This record gives sequence, C-alpha cells and structure tokens, in this order.
Amino acid sequence: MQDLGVRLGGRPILHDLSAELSGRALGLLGPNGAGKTTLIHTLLGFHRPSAGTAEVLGHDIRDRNDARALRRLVGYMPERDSFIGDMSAVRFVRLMGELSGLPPRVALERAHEALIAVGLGESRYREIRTYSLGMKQRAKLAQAIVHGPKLLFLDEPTNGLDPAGRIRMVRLVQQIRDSGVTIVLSSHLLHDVEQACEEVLILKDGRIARHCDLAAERKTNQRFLDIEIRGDRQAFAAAVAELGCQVALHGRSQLKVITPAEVTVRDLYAAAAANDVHIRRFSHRRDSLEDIFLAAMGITAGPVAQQGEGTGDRASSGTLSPTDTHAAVVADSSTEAS
Amino acid sequence: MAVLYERRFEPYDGALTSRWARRLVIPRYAMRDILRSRMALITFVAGFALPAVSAAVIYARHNATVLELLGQGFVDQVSIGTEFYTTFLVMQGWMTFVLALVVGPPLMARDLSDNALPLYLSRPISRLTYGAGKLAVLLVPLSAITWLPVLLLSLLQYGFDGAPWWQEHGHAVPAAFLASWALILPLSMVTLALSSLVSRRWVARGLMLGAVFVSRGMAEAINAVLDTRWGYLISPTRVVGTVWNQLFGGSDLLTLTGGPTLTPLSGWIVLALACIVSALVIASRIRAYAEVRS
Repeated sequence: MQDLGVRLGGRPILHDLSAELSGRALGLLGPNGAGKTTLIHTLLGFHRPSAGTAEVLGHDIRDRNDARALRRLVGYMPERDSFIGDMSAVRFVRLMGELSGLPPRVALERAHEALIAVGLGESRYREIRTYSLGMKQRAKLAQAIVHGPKLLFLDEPTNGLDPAGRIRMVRLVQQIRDSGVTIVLSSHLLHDVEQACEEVLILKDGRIARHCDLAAERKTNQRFLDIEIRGDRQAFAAAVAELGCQVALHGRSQLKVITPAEVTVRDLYAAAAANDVHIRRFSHRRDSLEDIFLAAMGITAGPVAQQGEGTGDRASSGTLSPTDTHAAVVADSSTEAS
Repeated sequence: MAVLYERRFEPYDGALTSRWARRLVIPRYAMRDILRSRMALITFVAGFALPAVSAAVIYARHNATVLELLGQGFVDQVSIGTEFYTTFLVMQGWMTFVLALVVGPPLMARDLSDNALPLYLSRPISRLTYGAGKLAVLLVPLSAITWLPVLLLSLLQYGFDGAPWWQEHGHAVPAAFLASWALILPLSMVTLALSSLVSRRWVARGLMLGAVFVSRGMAEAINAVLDTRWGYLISPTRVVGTVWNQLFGGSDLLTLTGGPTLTPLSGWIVLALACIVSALVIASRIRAYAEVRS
C-alpha cells in the first residue's frame, strides 16, 4: 500500500496507509470503526481509492480489470451473515466455486471437500438457513476456500461464536494458514489474531497505528528474563554481566536480564551456582499482543519500567514498551523455573 | 472423484472456465431453481398452452381431413394475421404477467435478504454481470411464451401458405415481435427492481398486482376528477395497450374500454421511463457493502 486513502459518503475513512505486507498471516486489528473492513473492501476492489494505490498479489486494485483478475485469486469471508438461505450448503458452495471460475464438476467436487474440511460434512445437504450460527460461519469459510485461493480475507470470523466455536474457527484458520494460504484476518479479538497471525497491522481512526512482526516479537521476548533470587544480588548481576548480558536490578531481589543469543538458561544457573545464589523465580517476559495493541491505541497502564530491545516493530509511530503492569501479565503466563 | 473424508485445503491450479461461462452461472442456477418450483413450472408450462393450440389451428387449416370435419367456415373464421397476433399477445400478455409474478420476486430478494451480494461480487464477476444474469432469468422464460412462439407460428404459417400470406400479413410479425419486447422488457425490469427493494416475495407480488389492477381504478378516478386522459399514464395495461395499438395499426381489442387513449409517444416514454428507473433502482441495490453516512 502506498499512501492509500479511501473516502465513503464524502467522509475520509482511510488515510495515507503505507505498508508492505509480506507475512503469511496478517492480523488486522483495531477498534470498531477503525477502518479494517473498509481496507479489506478496498483491497478487494469494492471501493476505489481516493488517493494512493495498493497492489495485491501483483494486481493494481485501481485497475478494474486487474481487480477482477485479483478476485479470482482471493477468497473472502465477510463479517456479516452472508449465504443463500434456501440453498443446501453443497449447492451454495458449488455456486460460489463456479462463479470463481471452476468448471461445474470440479466445483462440485471441491464444494464437498471444502465443507468436509470445515467440519460440515454431515450436514452439507441441509439448507443453510437451518444451520446454527457457528455452522453458518463455517459455511462462509467453505465458500471462501472452495476455489483454492492464494489469499484469504477473513473479516471477524469468530464474531458471535461461543468459546468452543471460536476455538474451532481459529484452529481452522491455522490449518488453512499452514496449508500455504496467505491469511488476512480482521478482528477486534486480540487472542484470535495472536493465535493465527504472524504479522499485525493495527488501525486507529483509519490510519496505521502499528505494524509489527509477531514472530520476531515472540523471538525477541524469549531473550528478556525476569529473575528473582535469594543471595548476593550484586555478585550474581556481575557474573551475568560477564556473560555478556544486560542487567537491571529492580525490587529487592529481582533482576531483569537481556541475554545475547549465545547465552543459555543453563549458563545463568551455572553463574548462580558459582555465586551461591538461589534462583527462586525465573520467567521469560512475554510481551502480549494486548500490550502492543494498547500501546498503539495510546493507552498506557503505568510508568515505563524498561525499554524493550529492538523488536520486530515496524511502526512509524509509538514504541513497544513493557510496562509495570506487564509484570502481572507475565506472572500469569510465566514459566516457573525453581 | 477425490477422497472426501480427508480434511485438506489445496490450491487450485487446474483449468478455469471462460468469462462467458462465468456470466452464465447465475442464470443457470436461477433457471434450475425455477424448474424446481412446482408453481413456477406449472405456470411456465401453462404458458405454452396457447402457442400449442395456435399451432394446432394453423395445422388444421391446412389439413384436408380436418377441414372436411370442421368445414370451410373454420378457415374463414380463423385468419392468421393482425387480429390473430393481437389476440395471441393479449392472452399471452396476461400469462407473461402471471409468470413474472411467480418467478420474479425471489430473484434478487433472496440474495439481498441473506446478504449474499458480497459473496457474488468478491468473485470475478461485475455488478452488471450479476444484474444482467438475474434479468436474463426473467427474459428467457417470458420470451419463450411471447415472441418466440410468434416467430415459430409465423414460420409454420409461412411454410403452409408461402409468399402470398407473407405479403398480406407479414407486417404483423415484426409488430408482434416488438410488441412482445415492449411488454417483457419493462415487466422484467420492474419486477427485478421490486425484487431488489422488497425482501418478502409475497409483498412484492402484492405490489405487482396492485400496480396492474389498483392503478387502473386510480387512473379512471384521476381522469374523472381532473377531466383528463393522462391518468392512464399510471395504468400499465393502458400504456402497453396504447403502444401495441400503434404497432398493430389500431385495434379495438387493445383500447379495452373504447374510451379516450394515450398518444403512442406518451406510452413509449412511460415504458422507457419504467425501464430507466428500474435500472437505476437495481444498480443502486447491487452493492457489495452498505455505505454508512455520517
């Protein structure tokens, strides 16, 4: 996307969006009204950009023919209920397959496959209007994948689902992602995005508030350690620093440590043993997507305790800052080491 | 056939259908739905009753054995010319209306009520393709019981009587062809527009019936109160009758009540306006998204 802007009904919805999205699975995050759905619609060619441009899979979305060619390569699962109620699921998915250019026989075969893949094999001959909400969502997913798209836009796929349905839907999305399909998942549910995506674009008021690589983020987080000890803290800090780590003391018995790639947890335990220090608690700091999201939204829950090291952050504004409240999040999900 | 019990997501790299084949998907599926509906099927088949009887009459007029049975008076009574085509189209016109009433209302309504348009339009088809596909679903069966039988009956008659018949009555054939289109095109477009506006098919059917029957009464009332004849502009039967009257060169059958009629030009204008307004309504309803204005 290059300076992409969209106006609807005379009102600017998206402003100056510039980003290169290359990850396998992209999460589109933002509060309601941030412009997530509008961005998906624009990338599908439903809206003409009022400024700038965007290319999807090498197709220029401003060019009508290019946009049509692009729509052959993508699948789309809209946010709202979308189906033809008095059609059986298999006929509905077949119709969508044929509209995407599949020959009738192939479309029928793939409609069966898609419905079985999303777990509707037993009920694929039922009319869709008789389906539960979760089944309708899965039927929507089936129609989006029936033609074997290279890119899949999923707009709030877990909307309205109960916890079990949500877990099932996220698993399906993970399976599709792992089969090599590029995913663009729009959601305001951070957990879903965290589970299914490797790259995140956070929108706020139609602008990019944050663009970061979750995979790199997770990798970096593995190098942040929060350690609580009993014993000579200064001596242990010096020993750890000698290993090449950056160390900061906090509290009465705690240390925050950033380890270089070659230093392992075993080295830290060896340093502790050498200084007669007992490690009581040991946790990897986990910078959750919630923290990233809150930071992007400009919502901070407490003073900054320590500046994070170079993360996968690609944002042009805002920095990824672990906060004091963060420690509480960490405590819940940390690995107790002693 | 592939193994169906495996859960898998595979990209598709096989052959794709042509653009024209894709354009035919919507009418193909919709036509199949029509043929599945008992009421639509019965109405459609009933629409062939008069053409079949007409074909039988034309054949009988040229069959010596039948003529012996029925007598020469039969030939004199039934003449295949302007009067025949006018009668044929008036009767088929009502059949056309009933068929549109049965087939038309669900066409777009069911896509709109279930919000299926984003799914259609996120595929490589345009809004025009969608609209034209839905319109074709009406135009094809309506053509099959109006101008197509007209042409086939004319061909049959020409086959029996040859050039002399054509020289005497041939002008009625293009008139009947145009008269058919003057009915089925506005009727199809208005029906589709109603289908796009009203999600409940029975409400749409009620509106169509009202447009035909209630408007006749309203037209008469307007004419009586305002002492004018322009009230007929809101009566579809009167407007179509006026246009047909011009095409067939004047016919008492088409003025219906024998009262004052509209000018042919005004009739054509009303039909054209009906098509234009309907096209605008349909275009405004074929959207992949709902635009929220602040």
